[in-house]
Amino acid sequence: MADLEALSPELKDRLAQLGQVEIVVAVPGVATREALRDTVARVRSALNGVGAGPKAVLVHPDGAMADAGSANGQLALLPFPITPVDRFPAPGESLSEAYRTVFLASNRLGARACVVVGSDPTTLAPEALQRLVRPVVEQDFDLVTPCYLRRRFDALLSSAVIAPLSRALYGKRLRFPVGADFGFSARLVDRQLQPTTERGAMPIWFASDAACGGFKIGQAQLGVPVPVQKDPPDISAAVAQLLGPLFLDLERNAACWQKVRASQPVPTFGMAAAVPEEAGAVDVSRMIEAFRLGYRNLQDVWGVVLPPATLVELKRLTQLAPETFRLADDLWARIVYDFALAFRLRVMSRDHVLGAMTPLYRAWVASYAAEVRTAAAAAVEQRHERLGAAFEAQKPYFVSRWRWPDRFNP
Amino acid sequence: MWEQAQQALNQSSDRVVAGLANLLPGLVALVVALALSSVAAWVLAFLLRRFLRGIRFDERLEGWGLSGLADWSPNKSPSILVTRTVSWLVVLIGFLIGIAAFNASITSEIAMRLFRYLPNVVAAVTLFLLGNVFARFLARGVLISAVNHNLQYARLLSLGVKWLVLVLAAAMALEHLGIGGRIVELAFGILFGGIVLALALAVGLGSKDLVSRSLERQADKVTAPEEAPEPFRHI
Repeated sequence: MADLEALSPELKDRLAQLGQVEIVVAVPGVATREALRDTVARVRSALNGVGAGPKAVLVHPDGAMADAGSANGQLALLPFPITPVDRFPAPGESLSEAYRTVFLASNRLGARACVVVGSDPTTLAPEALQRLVRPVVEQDFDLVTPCYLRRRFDALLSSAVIAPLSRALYGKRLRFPVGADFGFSARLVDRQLQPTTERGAMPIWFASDAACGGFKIGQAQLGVPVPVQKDPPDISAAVAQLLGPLFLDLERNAACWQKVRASQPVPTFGMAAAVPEEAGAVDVSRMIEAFRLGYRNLQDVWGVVLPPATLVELKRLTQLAPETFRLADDLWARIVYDFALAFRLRVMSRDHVLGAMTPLYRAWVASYAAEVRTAAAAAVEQRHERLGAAFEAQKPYFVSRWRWPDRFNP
Repeated sequence: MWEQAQQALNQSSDRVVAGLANLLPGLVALVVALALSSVAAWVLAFLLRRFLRGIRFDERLEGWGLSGLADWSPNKSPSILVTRTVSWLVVLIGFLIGIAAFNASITSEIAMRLFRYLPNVVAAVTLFLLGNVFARFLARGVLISAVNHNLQYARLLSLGVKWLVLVLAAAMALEHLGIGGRIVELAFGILFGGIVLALALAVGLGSKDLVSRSLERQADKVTAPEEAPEPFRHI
């Protein structure tokens, strides 16, 4: 459902009846009556601390109906034909459609702020919800991205590729450029609905869109771990699911990110809570073995994507014992950049490019896990900081290869 | 006696000269046809090359997953391959026209037969080239997928798939050319069956331990200690 004209007459009447509101909070993840009742209480509590009691609407999937009178006063309920997203992010088009529908509703209601809670809203504290709304309403921020508690082995694709790449290319040091919970301003919602951005509204594109459009970006500490995702069938599917749209976005924003020179910290709202200590040994030998298998079999494929110097480094890596297995940050950054370029140049089928990257990503996971398995939370954060800096340092290499892909690259 | 020999020699010379005189227009026509067709081929190749470069034919082919064609092309450029194929076809047509100009019934017959056979040759070559490209594409896909599923015999599997498709393409091409008839079908059946059998044996032997362990677990209802799940979450 991406067109409000296709709505039922009752729903159109309801939208007209609601008139103009200030805040739209969408909870596509709510599926039951109990969850909706709990969510209503949390949202009402969160909005009490924002401005002078703004008029707000809670948009929820029309499958989950609340009791009559569960919302009153400043918070109205709007059952809406949103594609239910039980876990975030749902692969494929349904997620994009869900976001677009919410944006259309927010636009129609003339809301100043639109908050989408894609994770389970019953786990978020009212204060956390408030941190997504308040910067937009009171400080004119256009996009508020989430900050989750980062357990060391959570959201590894984001840590390995998305966050450092986003930092290096768009100059914004966001901890989770892709997440489940966002706050948007009316301006950014309008931009997402413009015909030029009709490609869809994928969360992985919000931060880059906002950065390239000159919008004001912040991030909010939500105090919860990274939401549980729908597990893809295997790692290569996860790589394709996240990195495909990311590399596609690089192509679209090439004119923008080539002008960005250095990264800047982004205002963060709320204090970071302590990450619970994790115990337990981690066996990385399977990951290393998978990488070695890839090296033995995929040299021809990697040879099309990677320069000879990188292949030599990879060969050296295969000979290391698990205890000393380390993939250097600058090497990893160049590998990611080379694969992004191969994706753009279509040196082979794009599915094959992403598939061939999977054993290398496994090598990074093994190296990272071996490094941080006994590290304290602060040391893990420093590890991510070093990786982000390495991506920034290697950016000239990427820009040069992007502009002159045929130039000799030893 | 000497007069008779001289007469015979004169007659023979006359016949050779007459024969040569009869042949000469045909030869000239052949040379002219070859020259004209060469010029036409050069012009056509020039225009076609510019057109293909304009539409970025090589990049488009890569985008369609046909990058394997570049390996078979001169200078790794499918545009040059297409251009040269077309120009040589034009030269060949000029040659056939030149042969037909001899006005001899046999040469005309050969020319007509060649003309009739030409579509089969083009179809067979196209089939074989496409089969080759498809085989490489499929082999690479299988190889990457098998590696990502940690299959130790990934390369063997990929090679098997590649040769299956190649053998199929070659058999289809030969059938189009009308070469071999039933022998090709038989050979194809034997070869295809052989490859499938070899693959089945390879996979079977490679995973016999896995199958036997699985059967033992089923039979004894004993739950063997599972490998600990990895603590990594990727998304």
